[in-house]
This record gives sequence, structure tokens and C-alpha cells, in this order.
Amino acid sequence: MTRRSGRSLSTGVVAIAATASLLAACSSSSTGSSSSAIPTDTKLSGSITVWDTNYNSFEGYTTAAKKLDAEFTAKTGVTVVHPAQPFADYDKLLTAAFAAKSGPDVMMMVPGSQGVLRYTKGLVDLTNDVKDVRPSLKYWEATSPSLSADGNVYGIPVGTQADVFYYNKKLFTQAGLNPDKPPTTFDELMSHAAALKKAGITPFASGNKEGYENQWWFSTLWAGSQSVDDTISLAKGTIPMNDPKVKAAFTKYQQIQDAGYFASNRFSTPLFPDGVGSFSKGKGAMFLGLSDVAAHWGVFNPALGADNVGVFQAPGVTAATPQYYPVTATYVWSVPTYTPNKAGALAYVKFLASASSQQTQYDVAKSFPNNKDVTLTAAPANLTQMAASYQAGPTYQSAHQLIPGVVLSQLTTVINQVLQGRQSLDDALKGLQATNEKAHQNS
Amino acid sequence: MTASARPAGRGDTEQAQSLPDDLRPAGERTDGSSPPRRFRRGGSGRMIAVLFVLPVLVLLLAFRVWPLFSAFKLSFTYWDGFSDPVFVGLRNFRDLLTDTTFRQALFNNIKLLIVLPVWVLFPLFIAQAIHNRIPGWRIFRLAFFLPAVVSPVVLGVYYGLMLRVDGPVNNALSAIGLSSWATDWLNQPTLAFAIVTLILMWSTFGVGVLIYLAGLSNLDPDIVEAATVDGASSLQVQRHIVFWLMIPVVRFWTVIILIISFTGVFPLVFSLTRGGPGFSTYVVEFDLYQEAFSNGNPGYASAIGIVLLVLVGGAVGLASWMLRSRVD
Repeated sequence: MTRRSGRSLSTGVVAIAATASLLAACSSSSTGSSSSAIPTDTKLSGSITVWDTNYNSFEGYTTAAKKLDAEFTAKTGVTVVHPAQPFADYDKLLTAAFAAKSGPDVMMMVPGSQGVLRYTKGLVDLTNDVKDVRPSLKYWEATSPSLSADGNVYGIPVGTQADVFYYNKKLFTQAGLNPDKPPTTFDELMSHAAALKKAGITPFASGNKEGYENQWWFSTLWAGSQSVDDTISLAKGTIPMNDPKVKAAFTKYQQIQDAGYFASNRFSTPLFPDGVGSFSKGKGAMFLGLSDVAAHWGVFNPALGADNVGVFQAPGVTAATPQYYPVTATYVWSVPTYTPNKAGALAYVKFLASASSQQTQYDVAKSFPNNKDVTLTAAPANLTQMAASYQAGPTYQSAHQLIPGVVLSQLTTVINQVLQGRQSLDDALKGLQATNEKAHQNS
Repeated sequence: MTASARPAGRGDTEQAQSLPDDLRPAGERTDGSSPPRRFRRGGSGRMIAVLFVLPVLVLLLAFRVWPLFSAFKLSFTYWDGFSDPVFVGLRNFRDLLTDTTFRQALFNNIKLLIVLPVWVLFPLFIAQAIHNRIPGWRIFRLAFFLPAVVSPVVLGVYYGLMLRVDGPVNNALSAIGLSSWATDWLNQPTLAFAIVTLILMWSTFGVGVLIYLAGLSNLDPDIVEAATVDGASSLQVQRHIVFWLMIPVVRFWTVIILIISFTGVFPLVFSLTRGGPGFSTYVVEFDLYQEAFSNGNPGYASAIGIVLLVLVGGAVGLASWMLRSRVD
């Protein structure tokens, strides 16, 4: 699409959205918080640039984002420029933007140490701004550690992201397993995997070339055995990376690998799209995925049939149930300190967290909202089940997102070496701890 | 070149004597006058030369010298990219000594040099074959040079696809009954490193062939002819005459290879293996990039850059000295 035609299209969308929002304003709104999302005491104008790694990468997300941008412009008069940014090199782009003090006015961040917590020195402190948004958000206590530092809040969380297991009910039945009774403990997880393998079915679909799954499995198995306090200690560095508790989680992970329960080509298969796609194609019975945006029910349900895709939570490792459910925000929206349009950027961030925006994101993009006022209209069973689990709790931030980013980056690489027998777990954890110590000294 | 700048040669005296006064250099004029401004050293002539050089000089200063100076300064600091850099003395360099990732990366760079003799001499053999007009030499010349004009990123992505477990290479092996040879090429540390090395050699040796061809075409054919007349065989001519005459070109190509092996591997590694599996194809440049942009540690990355500069400079100097002394 040429720039001119793109601009014409955008103008058209803006005009349509403006008309629609005018009509909507005349009728009674079902969500009261949408109007309060945009501050009325500040006159907004100009334009803002929004950086976002999902834009143009996910069709539903992009459609919803375009709709929301147009709606925001119609309501505030602030023009939204929304270039797509690559996920793989996003951190490099952000680093360059902060160093140059020039770039986007609004930044999509991943929660935790590899995202928002890494850039806090360059972000606007939103502690006061978040006060009016916070009451409408779910899981605040669980997710806020991934966007706060020294008591200050540096981003507004949008969406509910979690490490969660999906399973293919038909393949469970084929292996003689009860499709309505997924495993709840680590031992059951292993026995289910053994039964599936015996039936000639790959127990876990996987794509771990980049090592992202190592992070997810660690958080899941850690939550199965360690408490929230332990997670906080791990984040602070008082539980070192070579602590027996950390080793226990990775040892369980290695047991699954050594038993041959993962797809044999997992170390040469990229997670996106191949690893995720293998579960969608029925090439594995279980998959440790996410609850929102990618590798989630919104992808698996259409591919395998909503009734065929079951979901279960982190298995209890030392008890019948996990210590907590690892949950985080899907994105954190932040505002850099250098922005010349702070008011417009803040208004946009709050607008995205509002009930009306998240309702659009759910309806159009099948995202998993974290706003209490969103109605999960016609929600599939697996989504309803997840929402109920997290509502019942306990929930807390996924452990891997609180480990220093440099340690996490190293972890993705070295654990692949451990799983393939090229390095001992003890040596790997010792190396991780050395990096961990240095990272904590620097911070 | 002005008359005054040209070195003196046979016939210059006669020419100078026959020149009119206004074209003679100062001191040789019969009337004792000074030459016109255009013949003076310095002056406006030099100014014009400086003006021509100035744009390039400014670019060099802005994009080479200043960043180098900045990197040198930063290498003694801890800088998170937000606050002002904090001076930490030699800490970054001390940390490098115990940094296992850096050591592995450096070791991998040095491992690349194992193939240096082949990397240096193989293009010479090919160039000699082409120089001797073997059948199809024009096609060979083009074919060898072609990879050199393809971006390393394109090569990395291309071979990444070719060498996938379910990629064309394994499919082809299976199709011809060699399925037992099919393997996960880029997920085995030794194999992945060998593949990176081979692709690097293959993608650069065409340039070497061209450089050697230029050198061969400048050799004095009389020397070769004289050796042949004296009864030297073709092999003896190549070994005892041509090779030694080509040493300056070999030295030049060796220096280029040394620089490539330290500072030209990044695009291929980035697009093909991302340093993996594990750290088996990690090189110093990649480590520098990771530290600067993934780990948010530009000060430490600058220290890596300075060490890399010293290493490359040292290696190039050593290679030049060794080859020079051999020729002498």
C-alpha cells in the first residue's frame, strides 16, 4: 500500500470512527469507565507516535488497534501514528530511542526485567496517573512487581498473560486418558505424557530453538513448588540462581526432556510459528502456551475446535496444587520522559486500559482483558476456565520476568545446552549466578 | 604535477635551460624573479587540495575518529544508556578477563584462523588456474566472484532455510538414499561452527581470486620465460618464482582475511545462528552487540570494542611483519 493511499484509508477510518463515536456518545454507554479514561482537565492536541510489536504481525490485533486509534483521535483530536516494529529487535530500537532521546511517545513494553523494568530511568513515573485506572484492573497485586521499581509505577498493564497448558482432548482420548481430567500434579503430568508416548503421540508439542520455552517452563515448575515470598527473594537475588530451589525446578524440566516427551526436533524449531503451529496441527498432545495474543486459545480453538482444546494450570510439584498461578500483564504501556506530548501519550495509555478499549480488543482480537468491566461475550470454555482460575487465585508474577534481563537472556541459551547434555546443570546455574551477582551489583 | 614537484630525471637540465623564465623554478630564473603562484608549493594550490579532501576528512572524523574516541572514553565507564556514564577505571577490562562468554567468543574468532592457510592460498591456486586460461575460465571467474557481491545477511537467511531439519539439503540427501546423513546441521556445535567458517570462506574467496588475478597480470613475463628457458618445470616456476613474486599480494590478502575474521563475521552469525547453539558460534563482535543492545551495557561493550581493535591491529601487524621478514 502506498503512503498516500494508506493516509487516505486512515483518514476514511478516522472519519467513520468519528461518526460512530458521535453516535455512540448520543446513546447510553454500557461502560462508564471509557469516558473517564481520557482526562478532561487537559486540552489535548498534536500527534503521538506509538511503538508496538504486534501491529501488523497479528491480524485481529491490528484491526482492533486501528479501530482504537481512530476512536482516540476522534475523541481527543490527537493524531496517532502507529508504525509496526519487529519483535526480535525491539529492545535494540528502544535502547537507541532512549539514547537519542527521540522516538515514540508511547511504548509497548513486555512486563518485567527484559521490558519495562530495564528502561525505568527513561520512563515517566506513572504512580499518580495510574491511581484512577488501578481500581478497574484485575490482578494488580500480582502483576505490579513487573512494572514497578522502588515503589514507582512505570507503565499501565493491559491484558492478562499467563503460562498455561493447553491439551488436545482427542489425542488424550486416543491414548486412553480421560479428556476431562487433565493432570494437576507433576507426577500426573509425567504419567499422562508416558501414556501418550506409549500410544505413539508426542506428549508435548514444542519449538525451543530460541530457548523461550525454558523461561515458561521454569516459571511454571517454580510456581508448582515455591511460594510468592521465594519468588520475591529470587527477584531480589537473595535466592541465588544456583540455589537448590532453582535447581529443583530445572531438574524436573530435564526429567521431561530426558524421558523423550518433547518433540524430537524442538531445538531446531522456532517457537513462532513452527512450535506453536505443531500443536495447532495436532502434532502434540500438550503445549505450554500463553493466555493472550499468541500461542493461545484464540489460535488453538479455531485450528483444533474450541471443544477439543482443554486447558490446565501449572501442576503442583511438591503439593497437589501449585503455590500460585503465574500471571502477568500482556503488555505494559509506558511513556518516555523525552516525549514532547506527555499529555497526549498519557491519555492514550489510559485509553488503552479502559473497559471500552479492552472490550474492543477482546471482541476483535480475542485478547484476554484485565479490566474488571469487560464482558467476556460468548467466551469459549477454556477461556472461562482460565478466567475463573485466576479470579480464584492465588496469582503472582511469572518468576522468569523478575530475574535480571541479562540472566534471563543467558538462561535461554544455557538451559538448551543442559537439556541436550552439553553442559551440566550445576555448571549452567553457577554461570547464571555469576551473571546474576554482577547484574544486581550494577543495579 | 607541477615542474617543481616532479622528481628530477634525465633531460631535465636541458629542458630547464630551454624553458622561458616564467616557467622556470625560483633560483633558475635569469631575472631572479619568483615563479607564478600556481607553481609554488603550498599557497592556493594546497588550499584547493585541502578543500577537496575536507568533506571526506569531516566524514572520517565524525563517523570513525570521534566514535573511536568516544568508545575509548566509554570503555572506562559504567553506563546504562540513561544516566551520565560513571568512571570505573579498568573494571570493564578486568571483568573481560573472567567473562566466560567473551572468552568463548574470542576463542571462536581465533579458531577461525585455523583455516587461514587455506583461506589465503586457495584463491591463489584458483587465480593461477584462471590466469593460465583453463577451459571455461571466464565462467569460473564470474562464479567465484558472485558470492562476494551477495550480502552476508542474505547468505545467512538462505543457508538457515537450506539447512533446516526439514530443509532442502536434508530432503535432497533423503531423496538420493543418504537419509542417514541428514542431520540437524545448525544445532550441533562443531558442525555449526564449521558451516559458518565454510560459508565465510566461500563468500570471500572470490575477492581473493580477483586480487590475486590482478597481481598475476602485473608479473613480468620475462622472468617466468627466463626460468622456463633455464629448464624449470611449470610446477617449479609456480613454486619458486611466481609464489615469491606474489608475496606482497599474499600479504595484502592475509591482512584482509585477518580483519574479516575478527570484524566481518557478525552479519553472517547474526542471520544464521545468532551465536548458537549455545555459544558455539559466538564471536567477539556478536558479544559486543549483545552487551550493548540486549544487555544494556554500552560501557562494557565499548571495552570489548577496544580490545577487538587492539587484537585486530596486533594480528595485522604481526602478520605483516612475519610476511615481510620472510620476503626479505
